[in-house]
Amino acid sequence: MSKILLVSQDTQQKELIVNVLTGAKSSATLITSVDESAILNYVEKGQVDMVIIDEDTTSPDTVILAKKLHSSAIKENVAVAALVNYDTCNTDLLRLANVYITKPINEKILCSCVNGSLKLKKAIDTLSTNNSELAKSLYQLDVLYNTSMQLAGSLDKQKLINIMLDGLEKSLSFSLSYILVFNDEHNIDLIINSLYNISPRLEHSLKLRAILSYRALFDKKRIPYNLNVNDIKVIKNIKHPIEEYDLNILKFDNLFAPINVGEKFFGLIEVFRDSDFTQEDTTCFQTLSRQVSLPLENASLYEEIKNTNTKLERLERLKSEFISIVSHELRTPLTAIKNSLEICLSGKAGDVSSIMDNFLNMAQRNVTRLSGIINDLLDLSKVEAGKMDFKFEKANINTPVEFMKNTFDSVAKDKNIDLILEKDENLSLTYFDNQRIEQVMSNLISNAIKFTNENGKIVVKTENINEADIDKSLIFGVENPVFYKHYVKISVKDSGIGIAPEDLKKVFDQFQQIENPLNRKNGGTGLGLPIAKQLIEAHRGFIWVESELNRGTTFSFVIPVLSEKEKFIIDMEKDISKAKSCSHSLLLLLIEEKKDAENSFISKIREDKISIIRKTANTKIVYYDEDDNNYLAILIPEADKFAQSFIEKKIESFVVDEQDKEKYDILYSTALFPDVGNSAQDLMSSAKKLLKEKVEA
Amino acid sequence: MSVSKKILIVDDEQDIVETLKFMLEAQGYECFCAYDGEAGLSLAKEIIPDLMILDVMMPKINGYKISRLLKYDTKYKDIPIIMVTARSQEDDKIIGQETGVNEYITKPFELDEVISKVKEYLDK
Repeated sequence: MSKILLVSQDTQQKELIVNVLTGAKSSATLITSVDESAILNYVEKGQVDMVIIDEDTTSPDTVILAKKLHSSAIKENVAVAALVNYDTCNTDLLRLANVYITKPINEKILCSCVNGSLKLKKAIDTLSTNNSELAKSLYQLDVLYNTSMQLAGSLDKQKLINIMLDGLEKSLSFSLSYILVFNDEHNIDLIINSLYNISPRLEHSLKLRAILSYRALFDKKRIPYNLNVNDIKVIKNIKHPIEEYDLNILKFDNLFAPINVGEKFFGLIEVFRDSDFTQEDTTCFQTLSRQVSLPLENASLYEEIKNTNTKLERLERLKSEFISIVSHELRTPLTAIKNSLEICLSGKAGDVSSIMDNFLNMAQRNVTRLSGIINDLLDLSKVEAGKMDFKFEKANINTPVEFMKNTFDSVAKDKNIDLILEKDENLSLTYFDNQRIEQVMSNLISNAIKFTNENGKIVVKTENINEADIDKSLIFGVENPVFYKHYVKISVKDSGIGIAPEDLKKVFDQFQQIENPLNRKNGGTGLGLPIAKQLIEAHRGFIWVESELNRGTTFSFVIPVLSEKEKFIIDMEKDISKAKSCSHSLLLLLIEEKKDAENSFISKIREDKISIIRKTANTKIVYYDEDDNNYLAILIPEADKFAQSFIEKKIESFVVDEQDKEKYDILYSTALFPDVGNSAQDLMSSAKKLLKEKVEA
Repeated sequence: MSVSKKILIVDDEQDIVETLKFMLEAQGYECFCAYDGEAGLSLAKEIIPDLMILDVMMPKINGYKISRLLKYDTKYKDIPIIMVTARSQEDDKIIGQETGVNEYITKPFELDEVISKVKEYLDK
């Protein structure tokens, strides 16, 4: 029902208007007043829908009143009508009013005029409400979008909950919210975000409320945890600590939702607001609380993986440390035992009977065996931890192979085994650590002797092979194997007892000694082959086994034949991985020289032992040919940008110092890790690219 | 042999010291023993041995420190030092070079190996 305020001193006219407007044709309530402040108050508060001002009113002044009403009337959408005399009407009043009615009053005109104004007002009212609701929805959508974007980008539980709360606060502007978050059974957070302070009894009742809401979510028998008030830790965020909420807040309108994904339960949330929530608010709330669940699940899964990972890493490290410490500790008493036996056996401590000698020898043999086992353990833990130092040198692998074969000649002879070496006299030179290859050969040959019966035959063979000659199906346990074009292959073929097909894959596993009737007799730690595998792989090679039960076994390994450049790139990769772990930089200096250059600048630098360059112990220098050019590549560790410009200047001055710069047909460029590239190939290619640019320039 | 050569053995493992001592004395050397780094260092300065056998890991002062202290003192710098270590040789040789160690023996060692090394230095 519309309310109309009439400002008129003419009582007769008042009656007429009341009769018309409250009658059958228009059902409005009419109030009259001539008190200016009262009138203004009605309009400012929007308590009336329409004001009718009679022009003939003397007090208050109608024009002044209309002026005063004007702005609030527009704001509150109150229609202003003027009752004017046809001839003498005040133009100011006409301008300020929305509509006018001439006197004497025609009932029908008055009626349609008032109804029209009221209808218009209603339409405008509806429009503006819709408009503001639309704006609110738009804002909520915006918040939802932003929130979901943020949620997708985080794997941190606490952060996710904060993002959700932030989104809820922006879109719903709640008075108080609480979230019950389950970390684990006895570690439950109740995060309360509130506009004002919270009274102690409110805090307690919020705890209880949270527990009750939690229980209500599940069937009695299916409650995941039994919640206890004492297990709940309260975290409070108060916005304005000026006022305090008490229990009455629980009477506010509220929204509630569990946070879960399927069966997995993360917590629950409830929000309170002093004004009622609309349907849109509810939808927004539900969407947000649902949206946080999935990232929360991801976060908890991620956390689980992270924890497991750290645990595994710790265990791995502990294992390595344990082996290394135990081995060290075992060595000292072993030395004392060994020494004592040696003294007794030497006869210097008194006469030894032949029986005593027999048992003392037995003890000594076993002490030697024990120290071998300890050495194996140490080797394995070292090579696994990447702490084994290799001394790679370019040499002929026939040397250590032949040396080991000769070492075992007498052992083989004792068993009447024919131990033969078939070596390729034209074997390519390879990079290897002589001591380690001897270790591998010793292991393979002694195994072969162990598992070959008397009068058997063992053939040790070396040959050059290509990548295509390698049967890759035999290689396993290597992640992302990298192959090179050429290899040298060393194989040890015996006519022994063989290995069952199902056991073949186990031979390189730690502590695996395949069950066989000779097992007991053969002893050993079962660590020899795992160590050999690690050692060969550290050489960028592969080791594998082929066998037939009762016919014999062949162990083969290959070591890549690397060009200087390939070797350089491998070294570079090692240096880069070292640099990565302690964030050192590495500098690659690449000098290119045309092959037919009259005077070799590169050889001059080499003769000068790279004196022009800051040389450290770890500087690596490689000279290689490629596409008719000669290259000198120098890798300088722990070199920074300063060193880079320093080196460039040095080369520049070196070239300029020479009388005829033209004589030296050279170009150089540098690449810096990690600024330019994060891998050896990256550095090489970017240095090459710079060289090319210099040629073109 | 008018005066027998003096060898100082420093190792916190008494059993190892005892066996070494027995074998070296059987070879006609005079042996002195100390069971920690501090005692070893002061005994070395007192008797000025012809050769020292040092363990790396010892209480109070470790073998490397003793070696460094002696090698930087003109009075003692000519005493040959044989280092006995339970650690891998590669790690130790680098440190050893800096501290002036003459020889290395890795535990567990053969007594014969020690004796032949000792003879190398004393029977020249």
